Amino acid sequence: MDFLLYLLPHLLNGVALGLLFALIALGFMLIIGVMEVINLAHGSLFALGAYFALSLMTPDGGLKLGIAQLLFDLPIGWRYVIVLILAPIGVAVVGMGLEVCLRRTYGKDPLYGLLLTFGAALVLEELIRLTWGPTERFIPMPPSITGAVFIGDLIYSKYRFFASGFAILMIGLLWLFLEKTPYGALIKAGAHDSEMVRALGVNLTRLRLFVFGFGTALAAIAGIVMAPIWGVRPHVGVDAVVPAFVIIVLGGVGSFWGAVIAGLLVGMVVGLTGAYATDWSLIAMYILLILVVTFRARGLLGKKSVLEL
Amino acid sequence: MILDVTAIDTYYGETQALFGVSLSVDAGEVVALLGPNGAGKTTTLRSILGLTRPRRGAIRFDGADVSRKPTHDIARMGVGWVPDDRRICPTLTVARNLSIALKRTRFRPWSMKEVFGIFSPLEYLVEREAENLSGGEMQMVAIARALLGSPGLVLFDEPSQGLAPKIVQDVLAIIRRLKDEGLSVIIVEQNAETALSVADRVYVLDRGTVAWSGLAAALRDDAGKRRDLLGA
Repeated sequence: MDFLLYLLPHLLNGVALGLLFALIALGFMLIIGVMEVINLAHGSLFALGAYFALSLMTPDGGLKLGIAQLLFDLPIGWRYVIVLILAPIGVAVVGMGLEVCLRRTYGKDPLYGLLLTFGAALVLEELIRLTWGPTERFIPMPPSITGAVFIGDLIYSKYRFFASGFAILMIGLLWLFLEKTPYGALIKAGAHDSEMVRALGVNLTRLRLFVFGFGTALAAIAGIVMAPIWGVRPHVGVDAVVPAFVIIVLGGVGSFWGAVIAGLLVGMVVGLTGAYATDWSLIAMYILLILVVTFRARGLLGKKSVLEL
Repeated sequence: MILDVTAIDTYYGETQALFGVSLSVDAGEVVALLGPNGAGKTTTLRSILGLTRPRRGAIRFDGADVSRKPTHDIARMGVGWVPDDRRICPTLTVARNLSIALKRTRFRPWSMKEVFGIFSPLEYLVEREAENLSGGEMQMVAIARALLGSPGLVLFDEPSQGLAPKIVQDVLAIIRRLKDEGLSVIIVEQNAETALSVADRVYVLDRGTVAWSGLAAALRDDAGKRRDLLGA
């Protein structure tokens, strides 16, 4: 029983981490689907989301605009709600700028897209360092979602519950958007066959711009919610893009629920190894990836992979 | 004249696929493009749609030069496409595959109800994921999708390919119906007999050039000429 009590918080941490990983991975996957580009800058845009939130939450973030004072004067709860909307929009605009740069690589060797987004990741990380400094920063959080909750004898961080709940809400909304709206149908059709959607009268250039902005906004949202868990550091982006990559391979490229399940799995693995063998917590993720590619290359819910005969 | 293609040269990379192909389609006319594999039939359709743009020559649709227009603009002007491999999105339901195709042009609009009137089985398949459809059902969805885009010209690429004879007859009946409604049709076929049974005029392509053009009746009635041009 003691063992279980000890295990439970780590499992719950794993769930919170996994759901946020899934959110990052789903945005990453949307971009792969429609653009056929592996966006290595996805993690840097995740980090940028946290930094934008920092600047909008507190004057310490270095935002000198007069209009920002209106925001800083609001109660912290409202400020947080507004930041959860504004910061992802800001990151989406940056992401759309990156998409414009990427256009010439579409339909060419995927290496060009990889190189360009890798370069963008380095540039973004350095820009973050120049703007906000190299040291770890903290985003003030509304007191209603911080502190501890007691479940029986168990002390648990309230924020992890908020993070899990918020990630579930976002994943649910994303699913509804993709499955129930005409835009979702266009995105899925565009990911399957871009030529055909053009021949149906869809402006593919605009669709791609939108999907890239949308995918990076999801990364930014995850970045803001992850900030109190991971801390806000310039190179935090790398910590985010790697699990996203592992998750889409593990879940099966193109599979929505595959990504969610794989996200939870990776979150648990990282959470539990973090508890018992801290040094192994990152390696564990890669071992998982190697096992999947070796024994089931299509991932958990993916279609038959090119790696399988 | 609804479509006027003048001396187009189309390339795939550095490989030239069309050499000065010219053809025209009148309103309410069904034109067949015949010829062996690799003759340039599909490339001609792709050029008209702007998917593979001709390097030289001109394409006019409905009075406007479309040779430099993006594909989605050409589609919005009223060019519909029924590709040979159907290209239905497998992860969407039939209803969602059809809904993304709905658009208005200056041509006659088609409602879902009218389309289901022609393809009655579709009405019972609307909630089915497209990956679970049969070949004939896929073809119905592909044609329904083209109609919902309110086309003035429909490009059929190998519509009989892989279909049972009964369904091929249904497809031909639909093409006749479109013609009666005043729409224009280009039908690309390997199977000359199928195409000749609905076409008004024919272009025979060979290695990227127009080898012969004339009335479909001339080929239908002259087995010798048919053998000369099509080897069948």
